[in-house]
Amino acid sequence: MAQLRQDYEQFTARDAEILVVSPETAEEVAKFWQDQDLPFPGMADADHKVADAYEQKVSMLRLGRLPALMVIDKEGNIRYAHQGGFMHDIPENKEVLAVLERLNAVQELSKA
Amino acid sequence: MANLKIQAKNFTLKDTRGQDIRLSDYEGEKNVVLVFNRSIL
Repeated sequence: MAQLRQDYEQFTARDAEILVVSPETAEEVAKFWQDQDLPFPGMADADHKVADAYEQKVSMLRLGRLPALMVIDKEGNIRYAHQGGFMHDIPENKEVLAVLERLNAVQELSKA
Repeated sequence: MANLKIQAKNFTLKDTRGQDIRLSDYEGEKNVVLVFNRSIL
């Protein structure tokens, strides 16, 4: 989370919001968000409903103990997915920012 | 990245401020970086 917070302005500058879904309880997530003062929404998914739905949707993902990160474009399509191999293994920010730049460029082209 | 293109499933969850966050609210507005992760080490 600290990694994402560090470059949050870079994400918002690329027309993106970060949404974090956590398998912990609402109380645990709320405490962590307060302690860390994170600028993006954090959501508890303690019963794993959303994680299960996304696991079915994107077969490469194993959502549970391991982290995963997806980029969803403005049309609501998942365009990038990364499955972490170990705790807190998310891609480097620069990789995700590059994906966003590409999506924005494609969208600009389709508008023209 | 490969040419991944899968329609994201909508969801509604409460954020830490008690506000409903709907994925579909971002459609047409913003890209979304959706992270599934434990917050606590």
